[in-house]
Amino acid sequence: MKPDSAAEIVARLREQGHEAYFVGGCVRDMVLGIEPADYDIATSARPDEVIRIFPRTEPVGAKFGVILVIYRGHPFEVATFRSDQAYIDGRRPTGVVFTDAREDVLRRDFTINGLLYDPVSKEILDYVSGLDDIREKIVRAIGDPRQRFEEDKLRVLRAVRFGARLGYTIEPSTWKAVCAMASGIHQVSRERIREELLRILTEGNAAPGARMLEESGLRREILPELQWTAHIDRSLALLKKRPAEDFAMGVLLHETAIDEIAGILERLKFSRAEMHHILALAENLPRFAAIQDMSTSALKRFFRLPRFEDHLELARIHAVASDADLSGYGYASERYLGWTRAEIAPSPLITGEDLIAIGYRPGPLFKEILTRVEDRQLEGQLSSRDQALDFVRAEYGKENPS
Amino acid sequence: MLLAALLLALNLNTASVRELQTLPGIGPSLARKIVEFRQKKGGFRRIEELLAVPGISEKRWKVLKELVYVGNR
Repeated sequence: MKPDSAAEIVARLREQGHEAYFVGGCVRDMVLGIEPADYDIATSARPDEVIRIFPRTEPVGAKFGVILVIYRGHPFEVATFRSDQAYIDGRRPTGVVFTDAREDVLRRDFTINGLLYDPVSKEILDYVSGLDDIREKIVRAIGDPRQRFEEDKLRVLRAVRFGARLGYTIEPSTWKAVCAMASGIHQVSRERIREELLRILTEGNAAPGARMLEESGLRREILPELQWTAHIDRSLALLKKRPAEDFAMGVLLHETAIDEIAGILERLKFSRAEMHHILALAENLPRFAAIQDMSTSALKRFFRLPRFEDHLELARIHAVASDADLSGYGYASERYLGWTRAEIAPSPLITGEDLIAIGYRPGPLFKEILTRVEDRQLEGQLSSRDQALDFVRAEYGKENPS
Repeated sequence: MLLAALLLALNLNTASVRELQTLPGIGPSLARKIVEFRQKKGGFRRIEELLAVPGISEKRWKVLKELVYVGNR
């Protein structure tokens, strides 16, 4: 078990005469009854000591006193208490000084992330009134918010993320600093912005999160092309738990013009595969409007879109959010679920090889012939190779159509 | 944990308002808050969640952590 392993690491450090605690988000989550994703450990032991004590380590950030300890197959970040010196370019400290537990906590971002917990004695150390803020459901920067955000410009987005995910309010002076420093976000790499944005959209409460992005001015900075509307707000509120990142992004952008979506995704360095899916979501959504008029073959071809369930779900969200009629969505989902994969995408009855075998010369017409055969196969009018070839001969003659 | 403590320890998930009041530093109002908190959450998963109950100070926690456990609901 991960928490037990983490506690053992703390115990080992203690045995060697060092202070050691769980720190940060894992303590917050424990208090909230949420299973922490990771356990971070803060200690008075210097990096070389940590490396000496544990057989498997990786010096991931030794300069900053961070050592990755691999223990019982899990990686744990063990960081020496430190305070950061001046930050350069709004992201990285120029250097660190090793200090004590209290100083270590004071450099962190929000009070709810500033708790220390000793899993052995179950003592909690709260130098920043983080527990009070958990009880009051408040996101509050530790110390001076502007200074905190100045140090790492990404923290303005993190404030929104924690506020949204936990359903907390952002404390007024912290909020003011978020708004005032929204434009500083451009000093952060676009990859980090993307990651933070995706977490806001997928960790729960995406709609309030996006609303905070809008109200703080952050949306204008990172997604200037996006028109924030009540429809988008309602759409995000309809996202199910833990949506795929690209799907959530598709919902956010489904009313944005295609070329602008492409621009956004390009800028935020989404992968080709994600771009493809998100663009497909927006491009294909309008097709649901006339879906009841589609022929069987057209429907089946439509259903072959990769991850068609996402297209269906977006159609549902879009209809519900616009208070529109759900019959298009209902029809599509019924038809989609009524067919097997083999019925939607059967293997072809004939190929170009077969046409050559009956004496046809390869050419541009092949594609048309094969498509027409496939149409009839999908419609259920042709079901064997012989039937298909008979159809071809009847339509195109005995040989060598040009 | 000492045997005495084990025997005395209260299951946070089943303890009544009255039982919670047998814990040092917990009066009727705090005991009620703990039970309300438990109902709202649908139970405790770890004793550390007590720290999120308004009124459980770090000082109270020091004593309480030895006297409670999280058992079946």
